[in-house]
Amino acid sequence: MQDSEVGIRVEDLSKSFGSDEIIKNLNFQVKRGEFMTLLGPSGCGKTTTLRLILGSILPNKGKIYFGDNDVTDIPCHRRNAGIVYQNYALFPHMTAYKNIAFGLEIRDDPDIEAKIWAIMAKMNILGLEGRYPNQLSGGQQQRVALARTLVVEPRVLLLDEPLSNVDAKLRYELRSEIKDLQKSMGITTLYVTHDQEEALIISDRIAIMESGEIVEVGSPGDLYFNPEKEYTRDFLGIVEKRLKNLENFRKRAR
Amino acid sequence: MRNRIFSAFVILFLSILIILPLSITFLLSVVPVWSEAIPNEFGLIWWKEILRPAYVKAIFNTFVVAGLSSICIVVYGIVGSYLFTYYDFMGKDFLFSMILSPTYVSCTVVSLGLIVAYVPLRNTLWMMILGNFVVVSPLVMKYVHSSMIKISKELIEASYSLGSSKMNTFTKIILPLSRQGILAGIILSIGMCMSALSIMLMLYNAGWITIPIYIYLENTTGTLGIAGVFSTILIVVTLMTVYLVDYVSEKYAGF
Repeated sequence: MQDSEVGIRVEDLSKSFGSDEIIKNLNFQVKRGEFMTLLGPSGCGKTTTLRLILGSILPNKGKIYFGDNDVTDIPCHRRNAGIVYQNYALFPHMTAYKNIAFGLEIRDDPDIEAKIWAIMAKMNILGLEGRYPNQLSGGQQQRVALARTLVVEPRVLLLDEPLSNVDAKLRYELRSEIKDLQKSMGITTLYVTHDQEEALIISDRIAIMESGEIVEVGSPGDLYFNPEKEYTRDFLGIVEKRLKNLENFRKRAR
Repeated sequence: MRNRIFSAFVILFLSILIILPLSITFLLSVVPVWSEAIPNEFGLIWWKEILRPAYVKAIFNTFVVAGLSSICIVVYGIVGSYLFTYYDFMGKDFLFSMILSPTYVSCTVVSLGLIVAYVPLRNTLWMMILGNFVVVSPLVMKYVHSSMIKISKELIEASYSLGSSKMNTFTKIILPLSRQGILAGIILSIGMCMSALSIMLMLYNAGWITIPIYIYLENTTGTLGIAGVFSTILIVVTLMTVYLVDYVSEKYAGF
């Protein structure tokens, strides 16, 4: 892959906390504008990888590139990597408007007002600007969190299980909204989840993780229908079992 | 029903137990001579008495010592808590417990240590401020630290990821979200520094006699009226601080 086509490149990345090696010589690439998912069970190192890319923790070894630029030693606040969390992480003492304006104000952006209204319209949250996070529903909070991250036009978008705290119906809606937004903005996105079904539906490519290592990388179709590794077959096989259970339920219900 | 009566009785008893001494200190200040079990004469003789220059100076001294001490304590409490919460370094836990240790030691012992350790400061205003600082700052730090530690790391990371520097994150995110602990620290600091007796008795200099020292001296000489006036002033100032801090806290709460 040409460097100009690379959105994020991770080379030999390792991270230990004390004597526990959480990330072990990780290597992968996310293409520019691609939606890639790190999929694995809880505790496999997905979120740690995300935090290393964000720059909030530093690796013990290895390199991280955004495009051609080595960002390994660049502090978090200068990396221009946006993140959305499972718990939204909205600033509780600021209104939705102030939350969205936060990054733009730091940049002294001359078009703050226009940009905020535009992103709020895009995220369908107009009318909520004066509300504090505790006055918003889970779905609204997630939309505000996405708006806050996207309005500063980050170089890469990192999503840490952003749909885990919303109900099933809203999850389906937000899933397609996130995907549409990502496509329309062409932003390189790394999504972290332990939900196999979600990863299969939303991703361009998936990296299966286990115990701090990448087991296999491929398109959802390849990994689901033709997995190379036994672990991938087992891990994604859950989806098949769920579908079978659903089918059995339907038969019984009839 | 019996349980309810019992609970009401216990609450009433405890309330009287707490409020009685405070009420009596006020009564002391408005009773010229307390010879009967229940006073039968009231007046402002003691309040006029404290207009004497020495007493006015004591009130001024108390505000200066408590004010300067509280500024140092609160600034140190905030900065220290921030460093202990957000930075990792070798021996951090040990250092933190060492810093908090004066809390568990008698104020008299700490004061004695200060006199011996900082000879050049002996009998100066700075020694009195240092005494308050050593005794009160660990408590304030505990309050502020426990507030800061509750702020989720995702909020801090979100702020950094949006381009906010450490200083900006500190002023825009960490400080407002630690507000409760900081305000509690301010109240505690002003209250404790204004009423500190044992530290002041050990460390005071003749030109810097404070209200608690006068309360002690007037009590030992039997002039309870003056002691009552000073006690009332301390109670009122402390209550006003609590209400002021509460008011500011609510006015700028926002969430």
